[in-house]
Amino acid sequence: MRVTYHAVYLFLAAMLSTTLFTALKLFGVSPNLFIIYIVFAGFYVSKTEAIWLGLVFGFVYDIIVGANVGLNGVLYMFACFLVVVSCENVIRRNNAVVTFIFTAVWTAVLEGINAIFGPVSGVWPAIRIIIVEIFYNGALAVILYLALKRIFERLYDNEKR
Amino acid sequence: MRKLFGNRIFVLLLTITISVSVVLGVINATKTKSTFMGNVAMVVITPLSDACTWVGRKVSGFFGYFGDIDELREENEKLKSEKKELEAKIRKSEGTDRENKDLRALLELSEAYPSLELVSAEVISRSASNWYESFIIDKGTADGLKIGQGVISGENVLLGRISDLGSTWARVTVLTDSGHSVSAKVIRSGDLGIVEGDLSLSKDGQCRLSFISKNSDIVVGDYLETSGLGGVYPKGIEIGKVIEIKPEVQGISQYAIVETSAEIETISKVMIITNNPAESTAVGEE
Repeated sequence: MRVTYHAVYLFLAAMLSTTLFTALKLFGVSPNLFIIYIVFAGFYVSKTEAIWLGLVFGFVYDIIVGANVGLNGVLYMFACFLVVVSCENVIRRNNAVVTFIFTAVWTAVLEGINAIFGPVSGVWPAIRIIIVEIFYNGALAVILYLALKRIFERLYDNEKR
Repeated sequence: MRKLFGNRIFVLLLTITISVSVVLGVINATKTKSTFMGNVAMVVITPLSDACTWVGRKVSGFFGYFGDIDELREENEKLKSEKKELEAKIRKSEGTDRENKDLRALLELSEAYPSLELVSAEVISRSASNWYESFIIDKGTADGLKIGQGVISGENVLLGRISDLGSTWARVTVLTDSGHSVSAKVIRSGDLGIVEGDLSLSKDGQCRLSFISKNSDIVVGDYLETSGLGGVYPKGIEIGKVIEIKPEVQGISQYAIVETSAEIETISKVMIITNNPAESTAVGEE
């Protein structure tokens, strides 16, 4: 059931990221549905599941983008694992504010690393893109918060956070 | 923090992440073709993207209207007074007209320039990344496409080149992408330069014309076309219009900001030049 749900979201994220959300750009920047999901999932999944989830989501994202294939596979794996660790040790309860902050921070980290490996010719253009994406991803995470929370609590009902 | 670094899984994942990132950075810098897994995944995703693109286009039109409402209102006032009848007609049949126009232009182009071997294709999805400007088309190696081939619109406007492909799909790196460059010529003055993508300009559909001599005659409003040098594109393909000219930091040369003629964000039909540009007559010289 869990795997099916993750797979459905992955499929939808892959489809929507390359179609609908390219038309919903904010200042030329589109959101990253993959980061939003792996960060949110980190509040509910186990460490092992986080590793697999991050790896698969990151790898599929790499295939879609077609550049530096494998880079986001390992980055997302590491990110999802760290969200689980921080949830276990620092923040034990999830809410919309925490979701926004976590999504924003991880967007900055992951896209910052992507910028280093990407075709960035100057620091300011990259910072501008990252800042817009931080707010776009964060806002979208908050919008999706209730729906995702409901689904995740049903899937992981004994580990409500 | 000490506890975290005492965690073996954390240390292992950190090591893997750093190692793989560095190795991939080196490998991908020299990558020339798609991986087997990448090809398989894209073959599965491509037809599904096709369906989603249709939905995306409908929604794009809807939201685009609200996003640009101020600009549209202003432009609308002008157009209303000048072309009232025409505007009403266009609005009525915008969707079908656009598709018909694309198809007609593609047909006219292949008839007008028989020396160019062209393959038509449809854009099925666009890049999900904010760092790369590209789109996917529904033709691949099965249709004779190869990496490096030039992609143009039906109006003979440069779009980019194929950077990656599989059996039924190809990724087109757009001319506004930072990794794209093409030799260009100013139509009016004949000055040569290199049109390159720039991350700070690409979000506005613009790119940069570099290496223009300080003594060059280039002015704002000049149009650019491909020079034919470099062997990727035949000469005579329209690139865009100069909208600003600035001196380079060193002061030796100058550069121009170019607004691309291609409607990259909305284009749905494209053509790929499959023959060697050196063998084909320059576009417009037939």
